[in-house]
Amino acid sequence: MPIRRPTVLVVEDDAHNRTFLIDLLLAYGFNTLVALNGEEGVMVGIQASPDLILMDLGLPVLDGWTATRRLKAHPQYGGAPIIAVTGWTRPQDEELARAAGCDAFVRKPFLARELLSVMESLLGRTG
Amino acid sequence: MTHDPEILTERLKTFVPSRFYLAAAVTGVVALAWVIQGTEELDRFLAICVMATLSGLLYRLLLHFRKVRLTAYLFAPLDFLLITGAVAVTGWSSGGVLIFHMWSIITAGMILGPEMAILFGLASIGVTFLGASQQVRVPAPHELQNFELFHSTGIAVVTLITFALVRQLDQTVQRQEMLREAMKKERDQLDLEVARRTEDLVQANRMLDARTTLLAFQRRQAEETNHVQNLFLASLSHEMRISLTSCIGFVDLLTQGVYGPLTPRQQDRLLGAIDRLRDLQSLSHEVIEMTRLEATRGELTLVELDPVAAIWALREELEKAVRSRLTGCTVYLELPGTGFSVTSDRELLQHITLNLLLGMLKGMEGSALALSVAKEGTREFVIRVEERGREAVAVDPKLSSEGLQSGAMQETIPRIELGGQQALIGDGHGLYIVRQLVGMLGGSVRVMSETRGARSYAVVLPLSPSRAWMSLDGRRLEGSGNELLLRPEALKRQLESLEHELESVIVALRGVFDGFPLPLFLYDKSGVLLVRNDACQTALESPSIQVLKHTFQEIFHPQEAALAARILKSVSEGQACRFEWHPPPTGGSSTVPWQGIHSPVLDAQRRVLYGVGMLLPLTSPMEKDFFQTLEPGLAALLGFLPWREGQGESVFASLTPPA
Repeated sequence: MPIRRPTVLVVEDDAHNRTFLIDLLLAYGFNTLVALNGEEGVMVGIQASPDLILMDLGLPVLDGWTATRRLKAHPQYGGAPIIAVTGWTRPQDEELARAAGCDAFVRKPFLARELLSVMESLLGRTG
Repeated sequence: MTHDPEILTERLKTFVPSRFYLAAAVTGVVALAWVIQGTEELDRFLAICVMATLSGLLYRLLLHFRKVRLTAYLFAPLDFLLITGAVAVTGWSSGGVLIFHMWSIITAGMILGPEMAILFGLASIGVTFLGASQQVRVPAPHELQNFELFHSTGIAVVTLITFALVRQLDQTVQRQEMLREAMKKERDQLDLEVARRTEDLVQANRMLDARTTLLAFQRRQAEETNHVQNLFLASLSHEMRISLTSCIGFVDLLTQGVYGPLTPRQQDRLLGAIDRLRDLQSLSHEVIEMTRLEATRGELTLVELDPVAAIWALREELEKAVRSRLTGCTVYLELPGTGFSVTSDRELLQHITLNLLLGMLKGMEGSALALSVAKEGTREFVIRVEERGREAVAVDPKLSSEGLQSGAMQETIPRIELGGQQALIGDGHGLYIVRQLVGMLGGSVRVMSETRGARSYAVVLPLSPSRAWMSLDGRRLEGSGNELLLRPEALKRQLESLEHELESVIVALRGVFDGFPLPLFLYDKSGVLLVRNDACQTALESPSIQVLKHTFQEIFHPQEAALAARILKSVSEGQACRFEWHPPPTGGSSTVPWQGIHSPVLDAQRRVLYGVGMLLPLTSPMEKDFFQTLEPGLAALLGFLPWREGQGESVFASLTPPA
C-alpha cells in the first residue's frame, strides 16, 4: 500500500522564501500547495484541506494572524495544524500568533531541520 | 457726649421708645385719675404728662428722621425740665416724681456723657432743696427733712454710679472700637497679603502648567521618537530576517544535496557561508537587544536568586544557538553541583549570559566552548565563556549539535588553561552589549586572548550590590564596592580636584620639559606614555590625559571615570613612573629605573610632581645643565635636596644624586 504523502500548504508572499520552502518540502517528500496572501491561504486551506499549513504572518491583503483566526473558525476547516513562520522578533509576536490559533512558531531564518522537526512533531500528533 | 454716632443712635433707640410708652402710660393713669376726681393740681400734672408724652413723640419723630444729635441734646434736658415742672405743679411735695430725676441723670450720662450725669445729679439735688424750701411744712431752708436728705443721698449715689458705669461703658466701647479698627486694619492687610500670594500662586501655577505642558510635549516627542526608532529597528531586523531566510535556506538545501551532489570542498565552504549568514542574523538580534537595552535602562528588578539555576533555565535557548552553527561545535555547561545565592536581576543576568555566548559563537574558530559560573572570593561571581582548542577533552554534560542531554547539573570539571596575557581588545557588537548590560549591574568584563587565538570572556558581577548610587547620567546602578565609584556628586568633586591637579602636573611638567635640549619621556607604571618632549616641544602623549584634559566632564560611565581616576591617582601619589631621556643621536638611549619621591609639603603643584623624577648619574655636563634649569623647589622634590621653605641660595653646587 503506497504511503500517503502529507500535503503542506505554504502561505508566503516572498518569492524566494516561497521557493526555498517548496524545494525543502519536495525534497523531504511532501506535497505542496501555495498561496500568495492571507485571503488565498484561507480559501485554499478550506477547499484543499491540507495536512499542515506554513503561515507567514506578514502577508498582504489579509495578514497571517487574521487568516489563522478565520481558518480555525471556519466550520469546514479540516483541523490541520498551523505553523507560524515569521521574521518578527518582538516578544508579543509569538503570543499573538498562538492566541490567533497557531500551533507552533518558527522564527526566520531557520535551518531545514529546525522546521522539519517542528513539522514532524505536529504531524505525528495528528497522525 | 458719646461720639460714635452708631452707639448714640443705639442708645437713643433703647431709651426713646420706652420713654414714650412710659410717658403715655403715666398720662393715661393721670387722665383716668383726673376723670374720676379732677383737681387743680391734677389738671396741671396732667398737662405736664401730656407734654411729656408729646415730647416723647417728638423724640421718636426726630430719631425717625435721623436727627440723632438734636434728639440727644433735647432728650435729657427737656425731660429734666418736665420732671422739675411736674414737681413744681404738685407743690414740691411729690417725692415720687422727684425720683424721675434719676431717669434724666441716667439718660444724660448715657447720651450726653458721664460728666453730664454729674451735672444733672447736682441739678436734681438743687431742685430737691428748692422744692424743700418751697414746701410749707418745711419751716426753714436749713432744716432739712429726712425725705429730702434721703432723696438727695439717693440722687448722689445714682449719679456717682451712673458716672462710673457710663464712663466704664464708654471706655469699653472705646477699646472695642480701637480693637475693631485694629482688626479691620489687620484684616485689610491680610486680604492684601492673601491677594498678593494668590496672585503669586496663580502665576506659579501658570508657569507650572506651562512647564508641565512643555515637559509632557517633550516627553511625548521623545516617546514618539523612541517608538519610531524602535519600530524602524524592529522593521529593519524583520526585513533582514526575511532576506536571510532564503539565503540560509538555499545554502542549507545545497549542503544537503537537494540540488545535486557537492564536492567536500563545496560542502565545507557552504557550511562556512551559513555560519557567516548566521553572524548577519545575530546582528539583527543585537539591534533588537540594543533597543531593548535602551528601553530598560535603569529598570532593575533585584531579587535573591541562584545564578546557576538561572543559567540552567537558559539551556533551551543555548541549545538553539548551538544548533544554529553548522560547522560543528560543542558547548560545555560547567555548572557547580550546588548553587549559591546572589542579589541580581534575573532577566538581565540571562541576557548577559546569552549575549556572551552568542558573541563568542560568532567568531569562534575552535570547536568547543565552555560556559561556567562560579563564585569568586566573598564578593563576586564570574560567568565565563572560554574557547577550547581542538585538543580539549569533552566531558559530560554537553550541549552538542546532536542535542541536549537531559539530566541534573554535573560537578565542576577542571578547565583547560590556555594562558594568555590580559589586554583590552576592541569589542564586537555582542560584547559591547554585554558590557552595557554588565555595567547596569555594577560588574566588569574581562577579555583574555592568547596568541593561538583561543579567547576567554569573563563577566565579573557582585554577589550583592554594596550600596545604591546614581551614575553621572542619572541611571540607578548598584555599586560593585570599588571605592573609587563614589556617588556622582563626590565623584564630580573628586574629578574636579584631580583635574586641577592634572593641570598643575601639566604646568609643572611643561616647566620642566620646555626648552630642555634633550628628548624626555614620562611614563606611568603601566608603561603608558604620559608626556614627551621631542625636539624641545612638550606634548601630552597619553590619550588618557588628553581625554581627561579636554573631556573631563564628558565621562559618563563610572568605570571610565574610575580608570581615569586611577591614572591620575598613580601620577599624583608618585607611584612608580619611568622617566626616560634620550641623549643626542650620537649617543645611545638610556633608561633609568624610577624611585618615587614623596614630598611632605602639601602644596598642590608640588604634590603632583610626585610622579616626576629620575635618577641620573650626575657625571656629565649635560645633566648638570639640565638641573640648572630647575627651580630649587623642583630640585628638592626630585630628591636632590632636602626641602626647606623659602630657600634662596644656589643649590646646584651641592647637588648629589640620590642613592
